Amino acid sequence: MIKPTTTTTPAGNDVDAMLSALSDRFGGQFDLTASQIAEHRSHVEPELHAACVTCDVPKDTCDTCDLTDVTCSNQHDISCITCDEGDVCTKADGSCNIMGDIPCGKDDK
Amino acid sequence: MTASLATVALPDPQIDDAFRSARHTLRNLILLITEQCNLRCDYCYIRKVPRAMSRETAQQSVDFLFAAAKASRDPLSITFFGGEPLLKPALIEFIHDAATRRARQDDREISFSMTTNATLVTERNAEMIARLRIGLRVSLDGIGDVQDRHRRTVDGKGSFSLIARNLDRIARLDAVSVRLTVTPDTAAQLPDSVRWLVDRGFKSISISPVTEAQWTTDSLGALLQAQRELHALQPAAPVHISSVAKTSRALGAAGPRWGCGAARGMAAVDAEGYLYPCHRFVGYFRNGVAQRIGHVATGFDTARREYYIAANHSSSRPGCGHGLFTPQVAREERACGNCSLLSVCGSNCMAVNEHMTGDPARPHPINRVLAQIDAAASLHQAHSGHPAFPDPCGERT
Repeated sequence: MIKPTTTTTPAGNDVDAMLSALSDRFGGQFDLTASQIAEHRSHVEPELHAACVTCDVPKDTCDTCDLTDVTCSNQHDISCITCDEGDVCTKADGSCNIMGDIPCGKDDK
Repeated sequence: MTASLATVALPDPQIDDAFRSARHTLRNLILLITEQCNLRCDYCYIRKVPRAMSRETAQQSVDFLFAAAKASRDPLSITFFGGEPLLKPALIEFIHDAATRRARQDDREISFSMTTNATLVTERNAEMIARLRIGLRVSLDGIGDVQDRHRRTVDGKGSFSLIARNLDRIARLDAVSVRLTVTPDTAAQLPDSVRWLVDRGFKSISISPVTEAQWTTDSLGALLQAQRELHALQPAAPVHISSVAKTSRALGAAGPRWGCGAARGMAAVDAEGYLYPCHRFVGYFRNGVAQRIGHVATGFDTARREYYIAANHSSSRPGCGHGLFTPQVAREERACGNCSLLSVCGSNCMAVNEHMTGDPARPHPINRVLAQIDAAASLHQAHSGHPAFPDPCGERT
């Protein structure tokens, strides 16, 4: 039975043991360090390193984003970090649903 | 204010201002137009009750959206959700008509979307979906027995035959995406299901493991292998596989400050008109007074909305206790906001957090494992041959 009640935790809840077992079994397929992610950031998509997650414009040049990342009105070259929709995504403001239960509201895909 | 509402520690005053309700304009309203469904998926978070939204509540919901969105000119959207919304096609037409008339009157843009289990996309309903230009998200588990295992009808029969007869019709619609729910016992079949959907002409597929399921090392290993297969498949496939497509890019950024739009640009309305941060709160906390953030007849409860706005921000999340940090991050700073996996982590879902830990800002540690599977599958594929990502030697026996 999958449906839990509030505060239920999954069986085999020892996450350290899970991580260790997966590492033992899959090695380099599973192992990942924060340094590798930092390497990814610096080499693969350096333009995203300091970019606003909403509009991809570097923070130091974007004058419309504020601390919250929600008031940006830059509607060019936006690729929503959540739903990966393109530059006309009406939910690029961050109203995408992270679990993917609901579709993007735009109707012109 | 309830005890639950007092559990989020407010950060410094500068960030605190970002949590003010006035800083967040509603754009998307999710309407649970019925809480009844013709399926009984055993992991579904919506409790099935014979309750549907009245036309009066539907009209109040439309009026509420336009009133709450008055502060901006941003495009608006309404999502039809359930239960199974296609049990109520006449109500969908009513709401669409009321909202489009109001949009014309107020000179606003509005679009519509719907999440469906695909069993009721008949010729007649497909015609309505196309005519009303409703974007469709089809929620499935997969091919054949994978679909039948958990997605059963009220009388316990599998639902694959019910959806299979509609899929060609659905694939011909303009704006369709498929959401594949993944459970521990279906993870291994995930690539087969994706290939099958690609062959049927679906071009947008998202993959969603059930966070709160009973994951084991074996099933997590199966999920890792499936994700690796999909990441290898993506570059050549004529399909957008999210999260596969987004993971590498998401990991390239520092991670979102906001988990999602819940309580901010988005809210959900249950059949009785109560407002919640999102649709999942309606299901996990049916009749949960503490999770309500207002009513369409009276508007937002500002304090309750701001509580969830605050919980939605990464700075409010203390972490799962198992995050992935660079050595430079001090032990006392090992919270979600500094975790390298934040951008691909389910900890961004407040509803699942509150469901699993009792606190919308506190994620369950299983998120760390699921996020690492996603990230590892993506980055090892993207950086094959790079010295920082040594070639994996395959599963060890």
